[in-house]
Amino acid sequence: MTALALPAAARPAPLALRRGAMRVVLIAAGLGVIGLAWWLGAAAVAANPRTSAFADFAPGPTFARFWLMLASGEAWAMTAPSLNRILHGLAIAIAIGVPVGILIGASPSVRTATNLPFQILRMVSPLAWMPIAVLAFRSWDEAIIFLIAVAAVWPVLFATAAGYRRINPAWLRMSRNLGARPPHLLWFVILPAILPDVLTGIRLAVGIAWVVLVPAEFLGVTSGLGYAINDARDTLEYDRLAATVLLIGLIGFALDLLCQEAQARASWIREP
Amino acid sequence: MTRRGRGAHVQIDALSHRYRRGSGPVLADVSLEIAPGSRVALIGRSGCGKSTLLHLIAGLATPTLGAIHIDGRRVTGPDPSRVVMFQEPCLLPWLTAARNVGLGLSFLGRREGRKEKIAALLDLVGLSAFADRNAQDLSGGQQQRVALARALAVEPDLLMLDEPFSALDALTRAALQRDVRAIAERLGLTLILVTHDIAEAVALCDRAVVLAGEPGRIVADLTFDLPADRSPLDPRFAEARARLYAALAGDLAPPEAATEASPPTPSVRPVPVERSFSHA
Ligand SMILES: Nc1ncnc2c1ncn2[C@@H]1O[C@H](COP(=O)(O)OP(=O)(O)OP(=O)(O)O)[C@@H](O)[C@H]1O
Ligand SMILES: [Mg+2]
Repeated sequence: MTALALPAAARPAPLALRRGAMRVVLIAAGLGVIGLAWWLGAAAVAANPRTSAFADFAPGPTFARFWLMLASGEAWAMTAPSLNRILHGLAIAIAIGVPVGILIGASPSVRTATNLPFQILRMVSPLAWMPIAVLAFRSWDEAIIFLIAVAAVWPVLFATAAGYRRINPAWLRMSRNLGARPPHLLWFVILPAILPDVLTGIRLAVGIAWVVLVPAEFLGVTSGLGYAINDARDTLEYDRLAATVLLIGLIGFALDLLCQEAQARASWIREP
Repeated sequence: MTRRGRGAHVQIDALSHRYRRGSGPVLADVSLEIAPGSRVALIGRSGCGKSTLLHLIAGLATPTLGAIHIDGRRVTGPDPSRVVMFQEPCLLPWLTAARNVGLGLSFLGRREGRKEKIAALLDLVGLSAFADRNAQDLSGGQQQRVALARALAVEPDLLMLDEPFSALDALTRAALQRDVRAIAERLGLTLILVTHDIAEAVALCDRAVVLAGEPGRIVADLTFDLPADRSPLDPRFAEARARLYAALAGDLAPPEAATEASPPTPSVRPVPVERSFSHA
């Protein structure tokens, strides 16, 4: 009658529940600290007569403007062209990075021959190609897509090449034994085997491409998130500028979540 | 007994093999003929080249010297008509048991009746309940059975089993031995079985070839004449086991000692064939 009769609230909550509650508290605390820093910074800016023109950076005006941008469709109108460029650039990076990565993984001589040039090229900031991109392509859009592709190709390529090592030679032998020809080996063994690594590479590439996108869109084009940032600066609408920064961060975060989800679904690798 | 006569005819002529130029040979001057539809056990100590010989017959490697002909055609590469079930089950870890079984059918583009065939093979190896389970979540013995079903799925003329039941308990092993024997008999296919288990060799095969030495050579070639049911209680079964044991023991001890050590009945001594020791 004693232990069983205790009211539910008096018993300790199940461990999972307590962990979940703790998580929510920690996440709220993190956001709270960032918000507070933002608010304090904005207050300091507003109090200083030399910088008070920038007071609209504050959380209040920013969120108000953010909702307005979402409601009016302005947010989507500036995001769509950027997403379009990102997707094109990534598609090109994958179309080049995966086959070349497989070649490098499969052939030691290709690996040796390409290692030095690729390691050097990889270290060049994609933005350094900007003048060349502007000369080489007819439209600004193409130039931006080129810059994104240049930024995104390396993580895809190196992750694919590294993933090739996951392939057990016995899988290929067994498959040839059962009648597999090279296209079968590619489709049934090599691609599924390296898929988790390719997705890791794509996730890295998405992160880099998203970062490169904004400065690339400072150039020439009259659409997209980078252009919106520049435009807000020129028109002195600092609440719009801050709201666009917020939008960029949130969409980048969402893209990364998507990649993470794809990784989780496609991975066959068991954690030991 | 429906599809007799599908078994492959294997001819191996003066085969020698080394894995790398400059490294020592693994097989030396192996010659062997296997009649269509017969079942041959390949026995020998670890490292004597049994798996290597299977890989060469499968066409997964090219012999350094000598040639292999199957049904009169020289082996130049792999072919699904001769399949090895490898020593390691080697399942694809991102596929389910059923999809692993169907792998060869995918390569051959055989779609019709695929589902039923996979189901029947999984049933045969006792894994119907595990069809949709990921290969990584199967026990070692279950993986071996999936690998067996996968090899059978492509209906080879020559089935080579490399220690196929090493991870199985005695009962499952006995059941699968019976099934493999029945399948081989029914389809008339040629079977080569690598095993370290003398009883298994006698239970499944009509003939045993003993490899020994470094490089591996054929040192004995025995045939068993046993009734189809292969009851282990049959005295002829025990006699065949004793003969095979003596042949293997002959590899351990010098030849004269082996003769002494062999059981008293003359018929249980290793049967020297014309090729044995002839190239030594
Ligand atoms: N890929 C390889 N490269 C070089 N040497 C090899 C290779 N595979 C096997 N060998 C060597 O060839 C010899 C025969 O190997 P094999 O695998 O054919 O032996 P086995 O008779 O199947 O042995 P076990 O009963 O242990 O499976 C061994 O000495 C082994 O070390
Ligand atoms: Mg072996």
